[in-house]
Amino acid sequence: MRVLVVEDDKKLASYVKKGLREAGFAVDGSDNGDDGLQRALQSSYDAAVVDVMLPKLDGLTLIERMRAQKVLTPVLILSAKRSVDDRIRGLQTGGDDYLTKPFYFTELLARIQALIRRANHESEPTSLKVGDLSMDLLKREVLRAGIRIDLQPREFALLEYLMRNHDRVVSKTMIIEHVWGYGFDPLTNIVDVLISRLRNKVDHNFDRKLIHTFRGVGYALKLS
Amino acid sequence: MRLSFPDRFHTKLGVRLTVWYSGILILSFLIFSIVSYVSVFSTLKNNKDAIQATLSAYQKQGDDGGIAAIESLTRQTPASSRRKSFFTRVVSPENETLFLSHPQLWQNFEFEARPASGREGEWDYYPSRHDGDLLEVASVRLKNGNILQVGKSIQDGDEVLEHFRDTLLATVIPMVLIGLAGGAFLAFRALKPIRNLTAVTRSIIETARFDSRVPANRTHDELSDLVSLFNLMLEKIEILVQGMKDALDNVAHDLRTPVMRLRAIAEEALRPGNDERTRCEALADCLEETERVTVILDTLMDIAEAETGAMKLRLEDIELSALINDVMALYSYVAETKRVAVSVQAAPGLHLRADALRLRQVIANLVDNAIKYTPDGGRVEISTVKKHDQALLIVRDTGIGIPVAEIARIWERLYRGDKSRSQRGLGLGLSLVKAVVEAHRGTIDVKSDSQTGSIFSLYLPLAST
Repeated sequence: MRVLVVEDDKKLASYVKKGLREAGFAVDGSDNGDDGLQRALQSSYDAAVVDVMLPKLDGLTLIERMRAQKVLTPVLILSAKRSVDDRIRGLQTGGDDYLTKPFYFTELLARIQALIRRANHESEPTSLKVGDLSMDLLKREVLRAGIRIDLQPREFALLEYLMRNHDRVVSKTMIIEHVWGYGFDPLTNIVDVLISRLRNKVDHNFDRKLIHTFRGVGYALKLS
Repeated sequence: MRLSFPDRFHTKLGVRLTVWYSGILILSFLIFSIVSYVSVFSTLKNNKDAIQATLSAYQKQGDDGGIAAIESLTRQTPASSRRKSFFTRVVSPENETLFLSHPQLWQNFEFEARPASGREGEWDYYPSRHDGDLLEVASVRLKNGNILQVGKSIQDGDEVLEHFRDTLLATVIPMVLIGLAGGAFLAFRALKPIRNLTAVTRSIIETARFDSRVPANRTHDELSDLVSLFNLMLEKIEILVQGMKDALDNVAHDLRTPVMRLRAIAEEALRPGNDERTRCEALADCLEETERVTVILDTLMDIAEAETGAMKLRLEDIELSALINDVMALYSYVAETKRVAVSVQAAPGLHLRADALRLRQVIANLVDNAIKYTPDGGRVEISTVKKHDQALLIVRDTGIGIPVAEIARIWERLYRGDKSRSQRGLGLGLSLVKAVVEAHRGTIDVKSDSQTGSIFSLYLPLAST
């Protein structure tokens, strides 16, 4: 898997590139729009991360030119602007997803992986399994060590999201977006509350805890 | 800094208006003068036609009835003044006067000087012996050989024309002066709002202060429309600029605290002798703090945008109860965990034109507060009702209430009441709520009592059907 990162802030770029390499990607970097466009046109990438504000050629124009040349690499737009209009403009230009600065790297990684999965038309699994926890997506049934766990719809949605992203930390924002369906400033601890309900049902009676809290970042479902 | 362009523009426009005004005034005066002169002139010159007409009438009488018939005719004409009366004389071929009408009027003319010609179409002129009067006379030969003369005094007519001409000429100069003065005065008056506009614009450019306004006119004309629109625009700009300044101040101020905290945490973590675990804890603290900074930034920008009217509302048709259900989906678990009973009594079919995301945020804020400040076992009631052309949304809780002294300040940015300090929060929620509600042309108010709790009433205009 090969990813292109076009970002002019050196520190941020190296942080993103390092993270992506650690996650197993081959990464190319570019610090301006012109060079980024050349690379995107010359080599084939599985995904690209493009900042909106770039020297020489801005990110949205870069994406437009890429699309005009029939390069369909999925693009994640990075922007310091967070208004709905900017987001829509970015997506209309041909971007595939949009991430506002500041962001958590885990969120960026999760979004890139989702983009690549979508681009490769990976088939939807009918069941998920992490350790002794399994989820049947058709019957909407959850079993832990063979014992059936009854979940309410939102709890089920949260667990499904955690299991799909197992071993990865997901932020509260991502959870709200996926479980409730909209980007919303979490005012109060609605995510904490839902997580603790889920913990009670999934982890409470078992020695081996699956749901982990990463303070300041988010939550992850993992074996160790 | 002097701006010469508006000055030049103004002067040129003033001069042009003056010139146009006085030009048109003078031109119309000239046209009036010429027309009236010509008309007076032609009236006076009708003399000859009148004389000819009278002459032929008298000739007919004279041919038939002789001098006696003419005499009886002349008696019917007035004898009061030369202007009104016709001169009539019959002379023998030897130039002997046989008859003279109204001798008191005409006897002083020098008839001897020129014998009557008796030829048609020929005019004779007799001067007066005393005044400068001149008699214009046409003559015709009667059948009996005598000559009939009919005439009129023309001196008065020339005098009138001459006088009229003099008067017109004498009026031209004052007329031009009055025209110029009037034009200048009118231009000065008409351009006053523009001069005011120029002065205010210049002062704004020079001082970069948007608080001056163009004095409004009492009249309702195009310029006063322009002035009031200009003032309205200034007001808008002032609000925007002030809003931006405030937002910047607020950002600077509100970010100091979390940045200070970040620094303290990092400093603490870097102390020698700290173990890995302590440092990890500190880093996690830092992350949490940055999260707070992000939320503060977002919220402050939202408040600033909503307050200055710069917030882009994506207005759509919204059913209020559906929106409340969305919010309840977020908070049902929270309420359940806190053992706060939340009941919803939403009137169906209340449609609004609103930004769904923003309004959901507003309701979420109110519900969030209500649950947060209501102790275990308490109740939160959400209800909606139609009030005339508005939807009224009430969020009532059985919580701790807001002390009277604090109730006016809860909408202030970053204000946190004493009792609320123990709760999580930034103190920005209600400021955002108010700003977003007002951006939707709604109103919000609160009643509170430490015994019974708080009631937030939110009025929003219904969509016109």
